[in-house]
Amino acid sequence: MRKHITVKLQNGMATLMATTSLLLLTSMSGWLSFKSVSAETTRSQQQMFAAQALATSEALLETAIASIDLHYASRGAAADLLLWNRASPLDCPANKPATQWQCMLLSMSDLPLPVFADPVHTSVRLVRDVHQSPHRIIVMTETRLNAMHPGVGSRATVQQALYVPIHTAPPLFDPSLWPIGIDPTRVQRITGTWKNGG
Amino acid sequence: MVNLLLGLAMGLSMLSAASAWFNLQWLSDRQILFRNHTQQDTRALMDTLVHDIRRSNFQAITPAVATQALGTCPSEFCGLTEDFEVSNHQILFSMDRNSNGKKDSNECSGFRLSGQELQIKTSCQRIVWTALNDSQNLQILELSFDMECDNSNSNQGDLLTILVRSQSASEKIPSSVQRIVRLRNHSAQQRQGIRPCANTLL
Repeated sequence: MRKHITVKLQNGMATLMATTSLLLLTSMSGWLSFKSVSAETTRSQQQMFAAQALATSEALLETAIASIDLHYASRGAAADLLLWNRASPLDCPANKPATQWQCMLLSMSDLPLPVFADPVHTSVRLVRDVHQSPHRIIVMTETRLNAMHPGVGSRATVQQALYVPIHTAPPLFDPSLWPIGIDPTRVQRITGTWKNGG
Repeated sequence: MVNLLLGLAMGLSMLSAASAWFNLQWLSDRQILFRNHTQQDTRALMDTLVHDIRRSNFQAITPAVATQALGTCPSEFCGLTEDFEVSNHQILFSMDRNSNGKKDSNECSGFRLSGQELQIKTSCQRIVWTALNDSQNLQILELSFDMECDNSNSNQGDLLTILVRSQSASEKIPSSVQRIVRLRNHSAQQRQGIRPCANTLL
């Protein structure tokens, strides 16, 4: 009788243990795949945040170009002086020495910022080689996503060079500075100068 | 005796149910993981393609760049086949990465499909193609480019449609990712003398 009970008990225990082990293994594999999918989702989100920061920076660049275009179109001959009177050597990036380059930060109050741009960490910088080519300016925008966006802190930079109309009337206008086919009276993009990152 | 048989029957049925559940979960998790990996890897590859291609033909402003007529090549980063060429399954381009105005050996780039590998061009002088994926894990089945020229007045840049079709080496379920890139450094003026686009945006 004692032997019979022992055999029965062992059979039950073995089945219970096997079932429990399988359940544990299933749970563990499920948990591991959940963690893996979560990690992939995080990576995907970060890529998306970087792309959205870049899109925000591009939007700001387009706004800045439109604003510069409007400024030169509406202010006439005084436009260049009015725009650059806020230039400061302190605004020059490290690779553009203030002895050669004129630099300024465009006032953010004049520009409608994209919804997700953090105004504290967003800037539009204008630089130009004031000696050799004052009619060619580089617009650099830097944007950081604000707390309204889940990717807060993501950062992106974009730049584009422009021709701007300065000294469009003789005797100050020098046609040799302008490529044939480019209208010296309008703000125009310089082909091949768009760059993201860096 | 009846109790023992009943216990055994119940225990075995529990065991078989747990085994079946384990097997189902295992297969399902594996499938989800493989598909997820394939999609993530393909997207990461596509991000690399888009990021690099958007910067194609970037050239830093140098005094020599400005004063030439439109349509002529103003720098070392245009005019040659290696500077910009698109075929159905390959793209070549150059860019002034360090903004020094000179084409260094690492400033030629491009992408192509070779076998089941997506390759990137990493050198100008001695052409080097480097694989971006491990075909033992991720197989690239198709890479195609379709260029659409922008001849509108706004001239915001030509459009390039990129399609990548891929599958995991273990789970042969193909998936596709398509992205459209606006090539900001390409304009109607610059295109003169270069092979016209298949499609045109007016």
